[in-house]
Amino acid sequence: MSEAYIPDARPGAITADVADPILKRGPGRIWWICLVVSLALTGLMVVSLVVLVTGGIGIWGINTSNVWGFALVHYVWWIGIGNAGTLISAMLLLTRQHWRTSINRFAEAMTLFAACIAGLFPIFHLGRPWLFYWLVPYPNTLGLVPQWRSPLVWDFFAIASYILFSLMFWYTGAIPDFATMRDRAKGKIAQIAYGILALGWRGSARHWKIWQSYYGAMAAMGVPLVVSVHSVVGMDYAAGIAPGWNVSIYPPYFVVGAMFSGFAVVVVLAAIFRRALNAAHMITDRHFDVMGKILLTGSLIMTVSYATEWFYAWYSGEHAEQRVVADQLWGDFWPIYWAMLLGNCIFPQLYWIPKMRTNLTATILIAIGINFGMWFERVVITVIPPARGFLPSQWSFYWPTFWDWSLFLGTLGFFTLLFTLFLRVIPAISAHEMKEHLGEEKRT
Amino acid sequence: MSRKLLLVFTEVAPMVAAVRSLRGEGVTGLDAHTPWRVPEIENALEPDGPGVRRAMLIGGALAASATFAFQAWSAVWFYPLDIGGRPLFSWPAFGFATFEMAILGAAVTGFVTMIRRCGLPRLNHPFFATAETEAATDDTLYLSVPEAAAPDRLRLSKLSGLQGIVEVDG
Repeated sequence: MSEAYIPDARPGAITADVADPILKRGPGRIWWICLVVSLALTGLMVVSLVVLVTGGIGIWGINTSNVWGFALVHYVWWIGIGNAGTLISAMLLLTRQHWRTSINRFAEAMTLFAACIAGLFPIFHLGRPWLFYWLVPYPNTLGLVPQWRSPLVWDFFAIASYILFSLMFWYTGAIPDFATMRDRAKGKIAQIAYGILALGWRGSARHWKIWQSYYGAMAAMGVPLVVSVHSVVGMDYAAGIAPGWNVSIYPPYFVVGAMFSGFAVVVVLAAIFRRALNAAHMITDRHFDVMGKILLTGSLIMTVSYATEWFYAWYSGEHAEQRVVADQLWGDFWPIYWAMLLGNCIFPQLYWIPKMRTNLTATILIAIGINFGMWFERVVITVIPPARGFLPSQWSFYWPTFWDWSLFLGTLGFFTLLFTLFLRVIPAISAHEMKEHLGEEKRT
Repeated sequence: MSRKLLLVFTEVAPMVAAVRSLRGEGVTGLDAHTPWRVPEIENALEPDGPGVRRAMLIGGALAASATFAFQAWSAVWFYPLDIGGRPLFSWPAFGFATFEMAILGAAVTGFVTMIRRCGLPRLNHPFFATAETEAATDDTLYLSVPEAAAPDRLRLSKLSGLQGIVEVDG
């Protein structure tokens, strides 16, 4: 395994590696297949939403105990993935990890796409989604303002701020690369489009100094923002009184879970981009090695979090809490709970073996296993506590319907569609930062 | 319109040496155009402080204060909701929106300040008038010297690592 994170190449070669797959090479057969399949699934998403709006949320499997169902499961799952991109990018920038440059651009795009998809679920769950703007404090003839003590309002502020922040962070980082695309493009449309996106960037020393000042400050603010956003998601549950929800560990546990699931998606995306861009020299085995170590650490923290929940239930002496844990471990819900433990705690232990971190097939399979595990975790958290409340009369099962599944599949397709288009339009690797580190490594 | 000479380099070290040499001779108005950020050139040119972070601090503080004040006012006076006897001035619950808006306020203020201080958007700069400067976003480094302040061409041609000179309108 090569020890280098940055390729041993001239700056011009890096420009060509990043820009030419978009500007000079055709999309290829696999890209077209991805486009058609993802478009079909996006169509399924649109149909699911139309049926939902016309038929109401009763078409889902929710009931009077499980009022949220898949809407909250998938909101948390997607926002967890969405939280990781900015967190990874900002933390690695602050800690001066040069290997960040190979993954930060598409990790941040992942954030944007996933966070936007996540926002759809609570909005459509409102029942009258066209009134979602009532969550915004604006002057209105009813004289109403939002209820500031409601976690739904906290969520609205957190997600809206996060999406806008992530967009600015991502765009700022990409401006110099848009300028590269502008100057390298031969077609008129591409020149104009990238020219507008680049805003007239000339890479002057003054530009760079101002850019760095803003970008660095954004990274420093990005980390606490991400922690706050997913803590707020954790508070959605922790502020509820249902057994299994009312625990103070939720905010940090959710933040780590978000980083964990998002990093797993980054590993899968990195493997896809490496293949699609023929970029094994830029996304190296060493990148997968270090990402595997991070996933292993995340897995260990998640395991401790689950164990802490068991301990809380036992130590509290609260029967309702103990019943929820018992139901999870060996009661009615054991298959989903053990699927969660398998994906999040057991499979990732394979990352202790160095070869498993650098073998692409193995690392992708483990990362996909983590995403399944995290999906099951969201089901465990959202579905079990309200199904096993304090009163036995509240107990019920939640069974997702066809429309629950179709909307989820549709959003997966929509996410794929956005990335398929991203691959053909946006430089997927931060070329200017890679050149900067190339220079630094040569000078040191 | 003042003209500028763009001294062309392909390596960082000779360009930094050229900046130091020209500044040592009292040449002012130097700027650099590089495809990637080069801290050594920033240090050698000493461009003005950006002032972005100060603006971000002010923007964030204003957004946070306004958000907190609005929540307190609306929850206590404008639209009080008594829910289980909880205090109307529930300041811990107001913290979430306050924090998010502080970060967003700082980010937006910083972005606007960055764009303004960079003089962007500007799509018609004379720097773009020649196709030769397109390499400034690829692999070539340009040192911009006002023609009026520049030493004669013979002196410039002796700069180590110089690959050529391009003239543009300033």
